[in-house]
Amino acid sequence: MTGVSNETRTFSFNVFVRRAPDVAGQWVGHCPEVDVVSQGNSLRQAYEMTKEAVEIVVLDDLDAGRDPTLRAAPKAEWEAAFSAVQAGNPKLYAMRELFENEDLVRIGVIAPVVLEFVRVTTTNPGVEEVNAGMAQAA
Amino acid sequence: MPASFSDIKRAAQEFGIAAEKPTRGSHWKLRDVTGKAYPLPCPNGERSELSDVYIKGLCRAFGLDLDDFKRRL
Repeated sequence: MTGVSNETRTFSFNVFVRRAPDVAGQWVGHCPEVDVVSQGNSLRQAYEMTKEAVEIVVLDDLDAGRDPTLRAAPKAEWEAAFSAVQAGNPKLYAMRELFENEDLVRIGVIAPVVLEFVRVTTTNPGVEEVNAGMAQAA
Repeated sequence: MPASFSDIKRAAQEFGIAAEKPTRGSHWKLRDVTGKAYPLPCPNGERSELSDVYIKGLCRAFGLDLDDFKRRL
């Protein structure tokens, strides 16, 4: 008889996206909780690229039995990002609104990223565990 | 100082960090000898020019000396 069990892990992170200070027309995104940086041609692409980069490291770490939160950026990196935004009298926007009008962004955007992963395990009595890979669920 | 995708990939390889082609999406995967991975973005393919912000993050992730890494770019 074969059994199947699912184990779900959910992670809530922040992504700080701003214009690249040194490459014209580029935006950079940083997720301090796992200290991952990515880049894109627009605010939207940089946000999506950073989300994809975070998925890559979290999935890779979980598959290898590592704790992805141990990657967290040094405190100074967090403080630099958040104090810069706080100093600019932050306002609340829907991301869609900012994607459509990047000129609204003066300093940077702090946006949430929620990732959910499910580990699907199939077992068969008398047989070793046959499938323990992590798959992205959402 | 920004650097090209190709130069960053080559410099990382000089530190023993392997570069794996993407199976999906727009990131290569850099992996050190311990198995730890870090994404290498290519938003404009291999012509991408990547910010110093990315290079600093890469060096933090693998514990590389930033100045030493930049000298190899």
